[in-house]
Amino acid sequence: MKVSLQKQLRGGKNFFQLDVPFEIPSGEMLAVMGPSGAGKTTLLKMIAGLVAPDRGSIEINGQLWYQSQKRINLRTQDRSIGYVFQDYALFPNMSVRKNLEYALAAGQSREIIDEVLDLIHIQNLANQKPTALSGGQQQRVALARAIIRRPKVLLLDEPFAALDEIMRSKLQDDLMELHQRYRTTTLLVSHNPTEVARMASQVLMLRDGQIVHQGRPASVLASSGDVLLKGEVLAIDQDRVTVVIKNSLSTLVISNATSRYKVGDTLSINSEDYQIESKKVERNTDNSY
Amino acid sequence: MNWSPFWLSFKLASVTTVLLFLLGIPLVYFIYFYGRSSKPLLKAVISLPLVLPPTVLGYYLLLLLRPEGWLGQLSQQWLDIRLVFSFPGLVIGSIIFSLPFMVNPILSALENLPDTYREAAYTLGKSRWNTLIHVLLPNIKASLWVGGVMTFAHTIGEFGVVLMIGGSIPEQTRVASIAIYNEVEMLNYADANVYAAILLLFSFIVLILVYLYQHQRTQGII
Repeated sequence: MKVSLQKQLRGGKNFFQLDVPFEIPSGEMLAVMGPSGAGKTTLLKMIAGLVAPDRGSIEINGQLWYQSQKRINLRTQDRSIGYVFQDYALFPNMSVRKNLEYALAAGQSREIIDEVLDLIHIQNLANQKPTALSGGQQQRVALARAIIRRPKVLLLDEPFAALDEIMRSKLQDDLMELHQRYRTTTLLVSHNPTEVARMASQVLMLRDGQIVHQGRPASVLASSGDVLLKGEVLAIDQDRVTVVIKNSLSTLVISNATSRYKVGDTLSINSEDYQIESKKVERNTDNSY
Repeated sequence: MNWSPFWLSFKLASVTTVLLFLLGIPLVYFIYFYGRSSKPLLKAVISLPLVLPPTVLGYYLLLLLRPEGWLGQLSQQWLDIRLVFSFPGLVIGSIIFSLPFMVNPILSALENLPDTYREAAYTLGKSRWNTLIHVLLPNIKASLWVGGVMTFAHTIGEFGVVLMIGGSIPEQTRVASIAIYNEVEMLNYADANVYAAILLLFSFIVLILVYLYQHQRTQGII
């Protein structure tokens, strides 16, 4: 998949130029990171054909979906995509099964519905209406619906943002399983470095419409310069510094802490201060102890 | 006591409501999906009957429907139907003056649905028409009901336009609202009283039902 897109965007009162060229090998997962307003959702919508770019091209497995010079612009309906929206966009008038049936392509066999229901562990919810489901369950249905047509590209817009930690990690497992099974080229918008390190093979870091870092998660996350940890120093005991971070206490071991910090200081650690080790987590299927 | 004005009003309102469903939904489809820059203009045209004096609307309809008017001429030539002072003419008039009552609630309900419903259906390969019929309209059933009921009630209640293009021909164009006017002119207050009371009660019941329905739905969501 080869993408190069430009579009004038508006952030507050200012205009800025979105300019995103990237390439990912077929079947891989690319994470798109960056602060809100950086153009992540717009990028996904342009690939889906829901937002018109100013210029550029989108090429998937040799097929052109968009090419401004040749005036090629496939309709959304003719691009082979699965899209999981931030608000899930499940159709409230249809049951879970009907939502999935509606997604079927003309002439596609219904067998895939039960296969996907099983794969995402929502067989028991098939006859429920989406409004009766929890956030995590709705998320699963949205994911299931997006892959029914076996799209060439899967676009996930912060799919786990609204979920708690446990639910998030279960869904990540399921998504990984799905990805390994179908090998669909996937773009994942995410704010969560753990998620990115765990799932993606490539990362794009966007800021104000420009790519500021690009590469493997390990290198991008480590060079992003984002603040990793920020809190108020509560107590110092020799080299142990207790810090309040987002209403919870953490204790860090920092050499010469007493001379470097005093109580009430704001302690912040950037990824530039430390090297982060990150690698894809392999599923441990060995259950013997 | 002659009940035919009520029967005529009921017939006119039923025919108008059914035809407006059939015409209104394609119109809504066009405005919602294609009316990007022309949306304000289209909405203004559709809503004109809400603010125009019925006599103005009636006057222009009269010009259009009379045998010398182009629509009147067409209908006379091809269908051999006279449009002024006749029931078919009343139906055309009613469709135009009740148009905003059908189209506005449906259109505003569509615009209030999350854009992602439409976008999600597109990503699933569905056409605009398919999206409207299977995804969008089923999720605004309440507004379809309200549109239909308000169209029906408003058609029953219209007076000015009907008088201009239909006159007051018994069994043909003398609907309930006209019949009251007629009875008063003949100083027959007893019948006028009954007609008026029935229309008052009908309008009130319709509005109560509409607002009860909306009230229950909002309560249900909370």
